[in-house]
Amino acid sequence: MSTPDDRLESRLRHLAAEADPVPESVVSDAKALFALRDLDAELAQLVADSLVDEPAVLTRALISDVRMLSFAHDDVTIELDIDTDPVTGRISLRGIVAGGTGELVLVRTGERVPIPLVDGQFALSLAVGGPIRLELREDSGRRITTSWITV
Amino acid sequence: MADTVLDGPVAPLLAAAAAGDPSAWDALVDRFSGLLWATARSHRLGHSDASDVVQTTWLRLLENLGRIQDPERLGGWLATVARRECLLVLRRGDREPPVPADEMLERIPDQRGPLDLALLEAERDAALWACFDQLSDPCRRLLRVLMADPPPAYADVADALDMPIGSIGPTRARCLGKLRTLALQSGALAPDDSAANGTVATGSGEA
Repeated sequence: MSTPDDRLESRLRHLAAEADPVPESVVSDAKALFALRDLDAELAQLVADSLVDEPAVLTRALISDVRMLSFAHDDVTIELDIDTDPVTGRISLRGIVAGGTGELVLVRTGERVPIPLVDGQFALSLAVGGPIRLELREDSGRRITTSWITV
Repeated sequence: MADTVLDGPVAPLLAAAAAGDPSAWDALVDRFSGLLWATARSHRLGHSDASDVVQTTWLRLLENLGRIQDPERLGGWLATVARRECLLVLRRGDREPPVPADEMLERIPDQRGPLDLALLEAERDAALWACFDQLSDPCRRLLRVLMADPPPAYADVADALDMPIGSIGPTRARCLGKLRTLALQSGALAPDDSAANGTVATGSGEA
């Protein structure tokens, strides 16, 4: 038996379905992601994020708004600094790959951009929008990808 | 069939998706997108930030498909990821401004039909939504998540908002009570709607 609270909640649910529904593109984009599943690559997990690590943010905030991320898998680490320019809407990525060498690729839903790697260091600039990940194709054939991050 | 997708056990879907079945993935997306969207919107994220949060959450699941420890608690796992992503977006502070109070209001479709009854209902809906917006932040957040379609489990709501599960029920009752008071004052709710346990006389006309 439904209570008045249940009925009110259910009316709110109908209202939300009218006024603030899940956009269809959000659902279809999520379904399309399955094709991006990469079973052969090994995952470099996010092990540090200055946005999450608050004391570090407080210290860094005095210097800049750069977000610093670290990914690790086995002996390979990828350090990534992200600097967003709110005026131009562009993002500067800068980082270091240590413990492994090979080709680095920026993966975004729908595109792959090779990133020159010089002495383990890289830098590139891209437009704001959508999650990204980095993929390292080692000379051995092993592929390591970072987890997805939203920039 | 849709019911199984929305209500059935999650573990088999998760296992099938992990084994590469795209239809199982689609079913998971259909089942939990409402919860994730409501979680993002309850944090007052704008459309594009909320979309990013939902997409990042699904990507996080995608890369961890074979590693979910407690498949039946997938909703809570997803809600937790979404909440953390929301907090990151809010902390970055350089994003879209939070959703203004009346943005959602404007989106209520104009349902003016030939029937006065429909008109009355649309006006009441708009008024109810306006009342919802006058609630305190904690109430608005909780109710927005509870409004997800399909209705989320309390355990998932608790994860979406980082609240103890035991406080969901009592807080919901308090918040709905406040909303009812506001709604009665503004005419968004007919007195009949507020009848406790439906025991109040219903003789007074419109239902």
